[in-house]
Amino acid sequence: MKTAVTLREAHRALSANKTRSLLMMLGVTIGITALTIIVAVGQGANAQVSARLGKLWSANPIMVTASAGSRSAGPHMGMGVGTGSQTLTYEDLRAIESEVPNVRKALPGLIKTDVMVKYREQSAVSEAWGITPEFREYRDWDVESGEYLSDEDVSGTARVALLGQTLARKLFGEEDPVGASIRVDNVAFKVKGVLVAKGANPAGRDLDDRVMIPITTFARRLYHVTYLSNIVVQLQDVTRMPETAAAITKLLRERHHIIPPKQDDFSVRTPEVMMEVFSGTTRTLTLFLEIVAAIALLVGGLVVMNIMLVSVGERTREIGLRRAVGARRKDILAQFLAEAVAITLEGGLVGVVVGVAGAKVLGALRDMPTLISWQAVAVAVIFSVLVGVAFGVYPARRAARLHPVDALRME
Amino acid sequence: MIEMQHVSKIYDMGGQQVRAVNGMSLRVEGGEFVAIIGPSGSGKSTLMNLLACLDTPTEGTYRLDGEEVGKLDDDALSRVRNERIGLVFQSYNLLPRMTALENVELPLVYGVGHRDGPAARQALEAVGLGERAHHWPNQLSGGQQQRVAIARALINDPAIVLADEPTGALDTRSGLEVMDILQRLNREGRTVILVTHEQAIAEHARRVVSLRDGRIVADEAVTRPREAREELARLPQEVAQ
Repeated sequence: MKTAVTLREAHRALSANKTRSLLMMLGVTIGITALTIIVAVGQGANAQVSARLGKLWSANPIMVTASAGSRSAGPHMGMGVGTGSQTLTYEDLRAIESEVPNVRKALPGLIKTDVMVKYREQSAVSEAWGITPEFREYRDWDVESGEYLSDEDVSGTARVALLGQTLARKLFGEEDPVGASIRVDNVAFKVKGVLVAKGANPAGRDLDDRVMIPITTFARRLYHVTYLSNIVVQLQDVTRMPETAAAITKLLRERHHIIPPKQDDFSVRTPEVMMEVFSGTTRTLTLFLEIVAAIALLVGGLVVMNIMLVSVGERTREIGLRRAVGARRKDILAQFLAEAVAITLEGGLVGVVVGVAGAKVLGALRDMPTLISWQAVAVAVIFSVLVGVAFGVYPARRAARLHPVDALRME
Repeated sequence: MIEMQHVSKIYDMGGQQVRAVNGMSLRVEGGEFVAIIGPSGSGKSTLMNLLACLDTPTEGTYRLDGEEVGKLDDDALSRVRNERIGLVFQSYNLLPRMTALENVELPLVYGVGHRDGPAARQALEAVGLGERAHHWPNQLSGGQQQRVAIARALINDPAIVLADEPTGALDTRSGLEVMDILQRLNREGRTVILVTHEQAIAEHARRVVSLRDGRIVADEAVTRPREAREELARLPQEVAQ
């Protein structure tokens, strides 16, 4: 039987009994409404989380540090040149870049604590970081005055430095440090810029008490090291951060020949706290709506099935006649399935409209981010059709299996 | 051509076997007009169902144009019903939510070929209902409904028309109009098989097969079949609408 005819006949059969059809639609409509809201709220929350994660992660990406310490250790405790392990290398960095999926770029870093920094007669014990120019973008940390380190500074192992504001104040007081000459562990550097103030990190450490120099200068001219203190890994997709962190851990264990129970000589840190954003009201509401959707779709489906069974019973003679004039079993099956799907699809589409409106109202009332996407509509349509097929197939099969003679005999 | 040999249809009624049709042999050539007559319970309906390929024999063979029906699967039987047999019922069996024209078109929906609109309209015109194409069945009289049903039976141009008590629910005039159409179809070369329990109706056929208890008890040619057209002409005018 031709599809167009099947659909036309399904529509006609349904419009012949409007009350019944509306009853059949109701459950599906409620279910799809709930489902649409779930998807809208879920995607809204997701978008919000992604936006937040994107910001936080770019400021705080995966950090691989050369240290046997536990994850809970402070970011720089017991690390850095001379104190940490010396197994993290440029080869590790290149391996992470080339072998771990979802990695956009990996950046080398060197740190040394207890560095003596001098300007004329002033001196301070601070922290030296060997960095690359990309650091500015990664950390979202620019200079307030002067200039940032350049690629040429790195390639030319230039003796130039950026000062944190705390360190700058200690050494220079009110004086402008840019262009001045300082000594870092007795090597002369020119101050190229002063960094924007960052304040203290969550652990209470003053981020502004440091001097930053090109990593090449740090490694070759100052401390003569070939290893790295840390590798900062930037991701393509921050939402896939946990898998990527796991892949990096696996790769480094292989490269460093670490088999548990042997302890890692590195640590991979991620800002795990962010995952908590998902919790709270959004999760509770989603769970509630999921239950509502499941129950409504189930009940709606059962209503559809029952009424379809009644309808098959009432239309037995029609089925017999259709069989008598040449309908095959599959034609009858298709006809009743089409009716079931037409009703659930129609119910579902109403549900989408109500759901979209509901999501908007909910978003406004509860100050909850909601996002209506084509995926939400697609999910609703697919579920509507699935319910129609799932609960229509039994009545349709009953209809298709009727013997033509018995069906025609029915009054 | 219809050829039945030793055909039985056995029903299981609460553990008891009932032979509704019992070892029946029947041969109907193309172009014949056969009436099957018998009291209720004689096996008329069962024979009709078998002839119409709505059912298959329990025993024996039924060949339709040389093809053994009992060996066909359900889809093939559906196709035979669709293309080679036109069925007319006592109760018309029109679908109430469809217009006369759509009812006539119904077999086309399940057909393989591509026939459409004009064929259905022509079929309606052939039974004198061209003007009522867009009426609903409940807007038509019984006789008109039965003529729509005949148009439906003819839409795929079948060689065989099977009519099961086609006049049973109709008044005399309407019944005769239906018989007139059936006689005309037969004159055009179609095989017509008519099931009835009324002798007067059966006498419109050229051959009468009598059934009793699932067997053929008589099979006679009708020397002078009644002409429905003449009978209609003789009906008193005031009976006419």
